[in-house]
This record gives sequence, C-alpha cells and structure tokens, in this order.
Amino acid sequence: MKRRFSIFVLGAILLGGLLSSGLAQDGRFDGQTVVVVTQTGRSIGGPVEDFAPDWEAETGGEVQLQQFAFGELFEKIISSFETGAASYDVLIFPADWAGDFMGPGHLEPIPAELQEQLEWDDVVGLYGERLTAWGDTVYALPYDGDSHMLYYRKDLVDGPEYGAEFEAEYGYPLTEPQSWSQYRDIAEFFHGRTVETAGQEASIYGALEAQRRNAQSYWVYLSRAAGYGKVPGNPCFFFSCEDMTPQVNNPGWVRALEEYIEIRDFGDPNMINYDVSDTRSYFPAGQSVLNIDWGDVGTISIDEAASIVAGDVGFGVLPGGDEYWDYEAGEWVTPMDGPNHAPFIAFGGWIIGVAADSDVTEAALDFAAFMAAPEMVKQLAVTGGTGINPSRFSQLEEVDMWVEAGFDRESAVDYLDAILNTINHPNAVLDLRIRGSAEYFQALDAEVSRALVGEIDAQTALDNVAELWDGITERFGREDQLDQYRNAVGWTGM
Amino acid sequence: MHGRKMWRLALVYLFVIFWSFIVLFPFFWLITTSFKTPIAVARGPLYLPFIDFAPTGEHWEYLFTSQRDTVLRHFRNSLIVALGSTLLAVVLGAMAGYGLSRFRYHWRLTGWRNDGIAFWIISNRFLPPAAFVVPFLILYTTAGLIDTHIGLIIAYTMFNVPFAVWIMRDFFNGLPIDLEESARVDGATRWQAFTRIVLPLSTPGIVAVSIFSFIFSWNEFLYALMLTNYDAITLPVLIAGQNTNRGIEWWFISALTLVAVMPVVLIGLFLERFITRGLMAGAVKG
Amino acid sequence: MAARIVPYTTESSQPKREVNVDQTAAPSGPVGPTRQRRGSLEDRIMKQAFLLPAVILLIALVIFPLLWSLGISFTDIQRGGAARAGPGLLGLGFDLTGGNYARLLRDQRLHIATFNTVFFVFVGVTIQYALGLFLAMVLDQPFKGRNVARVIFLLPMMTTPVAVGYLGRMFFDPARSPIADLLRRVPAMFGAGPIAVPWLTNPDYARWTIVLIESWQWTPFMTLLLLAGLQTIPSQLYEAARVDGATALQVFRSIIFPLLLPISVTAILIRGLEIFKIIDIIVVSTGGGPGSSTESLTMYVFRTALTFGNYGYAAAIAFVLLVLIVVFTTIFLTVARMITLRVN
Repeated sequence: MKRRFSIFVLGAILLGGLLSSGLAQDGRFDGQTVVVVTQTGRSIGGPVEDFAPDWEAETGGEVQLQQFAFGELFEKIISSFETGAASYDVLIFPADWAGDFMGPGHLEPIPAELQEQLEWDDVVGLYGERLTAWGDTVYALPYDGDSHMLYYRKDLVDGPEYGAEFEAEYGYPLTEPQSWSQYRDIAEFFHGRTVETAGQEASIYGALEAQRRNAQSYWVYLSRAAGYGKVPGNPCFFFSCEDMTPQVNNPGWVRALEEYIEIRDFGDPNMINYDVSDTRSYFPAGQSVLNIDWGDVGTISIDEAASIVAGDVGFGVLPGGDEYWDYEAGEWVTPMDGPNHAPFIAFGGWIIGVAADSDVTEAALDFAAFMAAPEMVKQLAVTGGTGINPSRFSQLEEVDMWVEAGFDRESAVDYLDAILNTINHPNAVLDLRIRGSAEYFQALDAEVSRALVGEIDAQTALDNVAELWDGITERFGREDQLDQYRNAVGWTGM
Repeated sequence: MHGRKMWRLALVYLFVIFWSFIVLFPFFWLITTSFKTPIAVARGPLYLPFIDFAPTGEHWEYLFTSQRDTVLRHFRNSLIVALGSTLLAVVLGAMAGYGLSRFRYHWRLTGWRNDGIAFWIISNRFLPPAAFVVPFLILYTTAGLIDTHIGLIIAYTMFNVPFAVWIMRDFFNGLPIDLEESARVDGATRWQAFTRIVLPLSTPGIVAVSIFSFIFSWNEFLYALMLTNYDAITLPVLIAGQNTNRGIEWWFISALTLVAVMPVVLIGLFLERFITRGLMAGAVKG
Repeated sequence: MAARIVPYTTESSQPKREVNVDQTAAPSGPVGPTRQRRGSLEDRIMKQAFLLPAVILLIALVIFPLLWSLGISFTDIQRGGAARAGPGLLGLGFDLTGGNYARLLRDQRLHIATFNTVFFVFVGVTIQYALGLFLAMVLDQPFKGRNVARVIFLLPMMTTPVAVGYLGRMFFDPARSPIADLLRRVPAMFGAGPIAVPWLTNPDYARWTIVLIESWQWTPFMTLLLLAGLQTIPSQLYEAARVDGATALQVFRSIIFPLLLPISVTAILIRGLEIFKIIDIIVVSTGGGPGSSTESLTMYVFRTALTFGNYGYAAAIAFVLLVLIVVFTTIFLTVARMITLRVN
C-alpha cells in the first residue's frame, strides 16, 4: 500500500503542477459549491475524494461528494431530476443510463472547446462517439472505460504441472479458455484441488463470479449471454431491431444462464452473496483459478497490499460460445473460425455529466473536465482500487506507465492487449442504454437471482424477464423504445 | 431451601450474563473491528486488540479527515430532523393528550368519544410506511418538500405524534386535577393552567416521549432514503449506502456505525428509566 | 403499581345522558355562574384547540394520503415525466385501470414477498415472545445489578436497524465471523469438522437468519413489556401457591400466564405489526436475496415505486400489505379474546 500511496502522492503533485500551470489560481468559483453524486466506496468516488482539494485550492470552489449504494444510485439521480429537486451538479454515472438522463435533456451539453481541451481523438471510438453522446450531442465526459474480461491463474493454466492430466481427461490442451465450455472444464478440473499459491499449498476454487442480488453481478451473466446470443454482424443483442422483441429468453441466453448456474458447482459456495467488490478482492487473494470482472482486477492484482498473485495472472478476452443462437434464422450456428467471441462492453463505463438544472454550471463543467483530464485518467487507470479502466488510446499504448505501476512487462502487454482487443472487437456487444435500462436490468437481476438458487429454472426465469421487459417497453411506448434502441446500437436497417 | 435458592440465583445470574454477552458482544466487536487492519479482518475473526492483532487508528482518522464533511453533514441533518420532529411531536402530543384527558369529546361523524378517538390516533402508529411511499412522493414533489428538513420532520411526526398522545394522555390521567382547578379558581386560563402547572409536573412523560421520538427519527431509514437527496440526508442512509461497494470494508462500516449509534446509545444509557416507564405506560393498561 | 387517581373516567362506560358537548370534566372546586359562562366559551375553544392540531395533522398526513393512494392504485401513474403511449384520461397523463390488481394475482414476486413477510411476522413473534417471556421471568427475580442488566438489554433496541443489519451480515459471514469461528472450534473440541451453516447463502436459511437478527434487536422490547406485567402480579399469589405446594409449571399455568395475558396480547400485537414493516435489516444484509427469499412486501413496494417509478402498481402492492395487517390484527384479537375467556 505504501508504494501505491506514494505513487499517488507523486501523481497528485505532478497533476497539481500540470494543471495549475494551465489554469490560473484565480479563485474564479469562489463560494460556489459543486455537489457530485456517484456510488459509494473508493471505486469511482475515491479519486474525487482525493483530488477535489486540488481543484478547490485553485478555483476557490467547494466540492461536496454524495454517494449512494449502487442499487440506489439510479433512483436518487432520476428522482432529483424529475422531482425538480436539482440536488446534484456533477453526476458520475454508468453510461447505460444515457437513455434516461440524456434523452429527456437532463444533462448539459458539453461545449466543443471542452472536448478539444480533453483531446477527444485520444478517446477510443466507442467511448468517444457513442457512449458519451445521444444523437449528435455530446452530453458527458469519458472517465472510466468498461468492459468485461477474463482473468485466470496463468501459473496453473499455462504452467507445466497440470497440462498432461488435463489433456488426458478432457481431450484438448490446457490453455487460456477460448470458449465457455473450456472455461467450465478448467473450473471443474481445478475446483477443490490443492495447488500452490504464492508459495503456499491450499485448496482452490475453480471460478469466482459475482452472483449477489441487487448489485452488479448480472453483468457477469450478460458476459456469458453475449457469447451465446450475439449474432456476428447484427448489433441488436437485447432486442430484435425489427419489432423490439426481447431476446432474453431465446435458447442462447437460456444456455448462458444454465451455465452461470452450473458454475456454482465449481466455485466458492458463498459467491451467491458476492458482488464484484468481493470477487475482485478474493481472486487476487488467490482463492480461485478463474474470474470474470471489469478491468479493475488487473490493477488490483499487482497491488502488494491486496494481492498475492502478482505476475501469475493471465488476461484474456471473454470466452465465446462454441455456437451461438441466430434468432433471426431460429437456429444454432457453429462459427467456422473458432468460438463466437462477443466481448461485452459491460456498463459502458462511468461517465461524467453535468446536470442541466444545476445552478453552478460553469463550476460543474470545470470540475468535470478536471476529473476527466487525460493526465488524470491516465494516472487513475494504473492505480488499483480507483475503479478507473482505460478508455483512451494513450492509456493503452504507453506500456511503460503500466510497468512503472507494477506490472511486469509481459503481463502489462497481455493486459493491454486483452483490453484493446475487447473494446475494438468487431463483434463487441454494447450494453443496453435506452430509456428504462435500469428497470430492464432490475427485472433481469431479480429473476436471474431466483434461478441461481433454484427457485425456478433458467427458462422460466428468462421467460418471466421477457414478459416483464415487454411490459416495460409497452409502458414507455414500443415505437419510441425501438427507435432509441436502433439509434443506440447504430442499426443500419438491414 | 437455602440450597434451592442458591441454585436459582446462580441460574438467574447465568442467564443474565449469557444474554448480556449476546447483547454486548456485537458492540464490542464493532469497536474492536474499527481498529483492525483489512488483513486482520480478512484473516479473522480476531478478538482482542494488542493480543490478537495490532490496532490501528487509520480508519478513524480517515473518517474524521476525508470523510469528515460527509459524516458531519449527515450527522447534522439527523440531529436537526430528530430534534424538530421531537419538538413537534411533544407539543402536539401533549396538547392532544391533555385534551383527551380533561375534556369530553364526541365526534358525531363517527360516533367516537374519547376512547375511540384515542384509539384511532394511536392506531396510526402501526400503519405501514409502505402505504405512504407513493402518495408522499407525489405530494412532496408537488409541494417542493423533497430534500428539505421540514419535509422529513413532518413525515416523522406522522409516527411520533400518535405515540406521544398515547403516553401523554396516560400520564395526564394520572395527574390529580386539583392543582389545575385551584389555579383556575385563582383566575388562570386553561392554557395557563396547562403550561404552568401541568406541563412542569409532566416532565417524566415528556422526557419519555422525547426520547422515543428522537430515537425513532434518528434511526429511520425508508423515508429518509426516499425523500432526501443531499441537503437533508440522514445517517441511516449513509450507513446503508456502504452496503455493496464497501460491504467488505468492515473496519470502515464499524467506525461509521459507532459514530451514528453513539448519541442514541448515550441517551439510552443515561435516560433508561424514562424509556422503561414509557414502554410500560399504556401498554400495561392493555 | 400504586393506585392512580383518575379524575375523569377513561373507561368506556360513559354517561349516557351526555348531550352538551361543552361540558368540561367535573370540577372539584366551587363553581360560580360568572366563571361558568366565561369558562364555557373559553373552554369550548380550548377544548378543540388542544385536540385539533394533532388530529388535523393526522388527517392530512394519514387519511388523505391513504385515500389518495387507493385512487392511485387504480391508475397507471408513473413517476413524472416517463414517456407514455397516449395522453390518457382527460389528457391528464394517466389512465384508470384495474390492471394493477389483476397483475397482483399473477405476480409471483408478490406472492413470495407476501409469504416472506408473513413468515417473518409469525416466526419472529413466536421466538421473541418465548425468549422475551423467559428473560422477563429471569429479570423478575431480585438480584444485584438488575437495573444494570435492564439498561444493557435496551441497547439493541436503540441501534438503527440498518446498523443491526450490518451486524447481522458481519456475524453471519461464513468465514470471518465469530459465529463461524464458534462453529469451527466447538466441533473441533470433539474432534469433528467445522459445521458450515449457509446462514445467508441458502434461501431457506436466510429467512431464519433475518428473523434471528430481528429478534436480537427486538426481544428486549418484549422482555421489558412482559417484565412490567410480571411486576404487577402480587407476591401473595406466589406465596399462596407455594403454601399449596404447586409446582413451577402449575404456577406458570395458573398464575403467571393468565395474569400476563392482557399485556402479552398487547406486546405481541405491537411487535407483530412492527415486523410487517420490515425492510431496513433486509436491504443491508441480503438485499432481498438469495433469490427472492428474503424480500419483504415493503421492499417490493419500495423497488416498484423508486426504481421502476411505477406508482400505480406500488400503491396496489401497498394495499395488499395494509389488508394483510388489518386481517392479522382482526384474527389475532379474536383469537386473543377467545383465549382470554377460556383462561378466565
């Protein structure tokens, strides 16, 4: 922790110096208070806590941070907008909620000068063009680039010890899993086995996945569903772009849920209560061989205070499905060139927006730009625990930065490759970002949760979800939703 | 016989100590956990500071430096709302309780007399907040009361007033009427008799009501979460907010919880007899 | 309890000839005509002035919203601003519909939430009454430090429920909690392996765990109430029983239980009604899971209203809860009355 901390301090000083050389220390926002709202915890909110004092010192403004548990964040923000309470000035929120925030005009458009100041071209395509904008207007600043990826103990998987035994049992070489069935096999193979971790012999779980209700675990499920349900060439994954029919209960999705349930047999029995904040603590503590999570695990794995597996972690693109369900053709398709990788841009990332009903708009925009500044996010991305993952080319190309942070060169390249391949993948799946997305996901989460504990089976659960989704769509207006969805995924009308 | 009594006493002590342990141990755990390092928690459970683990004050430091503004804000709001609601409940409750004790009412519309009215008032205490979620949301939005102290105070009064009426009425019933009457003979008005004679004599009842109202308002979560965003947000919301993202940070939550719980625990410890008396009043009558 | 002087009868036996609503309580001092007249007008005003503020507040905050909520439950009102299909009734932006109630019948999540809530109430009340009674009888014995014990017992009741939820979460953690430790050490003393109880990870266990947590917090409430009741039992009765050679069980059955009945009824009713409202502990410890095994009705209303903004349906669910409470109260009081008659 000490080394991390001192890098932080150094970074903060550097940043302070860099920024203050650019901005006048003129107290131009003297006496103004900017209220920032985001989720609780050190992740995402932590950087605001740490660096707000610098901004305050320069501009004379004051930053107040209001945090909520993730499960309540959406309703608090939307409430503030719709009840006219205007409680928050700066919002750091999941890009998924764009439909509800940007669509109805609750956010302040980002001025072109600010975009230039923030070097918009440096931002990876998806984040800069699609996720922070609605239609043609940019309403938010990219902050955290999100996508799900695969983590695995490469010392065990790629190492010499178990290859032969595995191959004898399963019929193919033991290596980074490319498909979900390989992932499952590896989990089964290692589950309960006594292996060596950081010099100690201990039994290990096959896989660790977040499965807690009302948290962020349903994205882990969606990562699986992508592999089985995303049709290459067709951007419409959650719904059919013809008529907004929910795809959530098609055979691809159902199979994904069945496997998500099955993985419980090869994982920590308590994962049913773990959210990602738990699994990304336990995996670096050496408790499992496999893990699916956002990019945070990478930086946590090299933090000596939190990880005992530094250097032993392999990074990969999400496994794909051996076959996928083509819902337009109504059949399973086995791709010619290997498993159907469909990296899931889970969450879309946290982005920073300014409320249109704020009464300190200028100060708010300034602070938002401060937090989203290229140098700032670069620093945050390499620091474990901040929750910030790369969203800019510069972050992904400067390997040295990562090596300095503590990665060994090989791992750094592996990590960055995995991320780049994920967010630039032609078959990448965008998360759902239309109006009511929080509601759609809540419905999904509740039913998936029930299936996970065996209350109902996978098909029934997803049928329920489909019905609920239709209800939500009807309530918002099917035509409207269809329009939004088509726009959101960039459907060209084929 | 002596032997039996000894046995009995020993058994009694045994249970008392056992149950006291069950009650107190979680608090002890909160205190020690707030001084543990994350590794100490993960390796846990560890019980005794200095013996099992090396205590650290860093979480408290974090709480009082980086988190200070946040905690203070929530604390201050909790205080304002609790005090305000208590005041309102005591005033309205004492007045209504006095009325129900000294006058005869008869509501033609429902045919209720004092007992019926009192019963109706008290029954409001048991209505589920869930039934009021929607109308309050709409009402407060329209009236601009969202995220205001007064808004939350009014909402809490809905629960505190019935209880106050119940306790105060019971209390006033136990107060002989002679003093008021002789004051009125001397020319005092009803109101003067109430405020100058009756109220001072009712201090125990008022204290009991105040304590209960304060504790309820301090601990309430649902309405606070629903009706406040930032300006009036209270401590329970802050604590609950640590739920998922910091769910694993026991050390931080313990420290925060202690801060939130401390005022009420202190009130309870020092004013226990009022609480007990308040609980027993009215309920014993059945 | 010392005899209390009750100047004005609060019993339900009111004089039947009551006509003039201005009559005040029977004064016990001299009454002159002048004072009577002035007292009349002043008293009439004051009489209303004392009671009305509280009553008006309650009508505004309780009656009115409840009626309004009932009305809302028959519409499809959404949280303001949600896009709709069509302008609705009279262009007001919503439609009248019985759809919410129809949905109630089909909604599995509602049925589960109802079951959970009822489970919490019945199991909770039973545990708390049994334990509370036992503790009250213990506390009834004279022993040194009794007052200290009473104070200590109050602590859980004063802690905010969300904090108690966290305590529950920490204490029922399968690996790092004292309870898990206990379940490791005790069997180890006998040479057995650790007992792993899926307190919060198994749906069926989780419900019980929630009840346990709730009971930790609120059993003291029962205890104190029942203790107060116990202390009104005159000691002569115990003496007489001892002289007659009655066993402890007989003493309990024929003296303690019957005399405690009124306050037991009150205590159980109050506690039961409180448990119906449960939400704080659940939100923090399990979030309603695993699955939906611990989601209560209040939680479901909360989610529907706040996350989904579906005000109409939320109002309908809330009414289910209200009806449940009324049914429970009625049944319980009826049963209580029967038992009281039987015992007496």
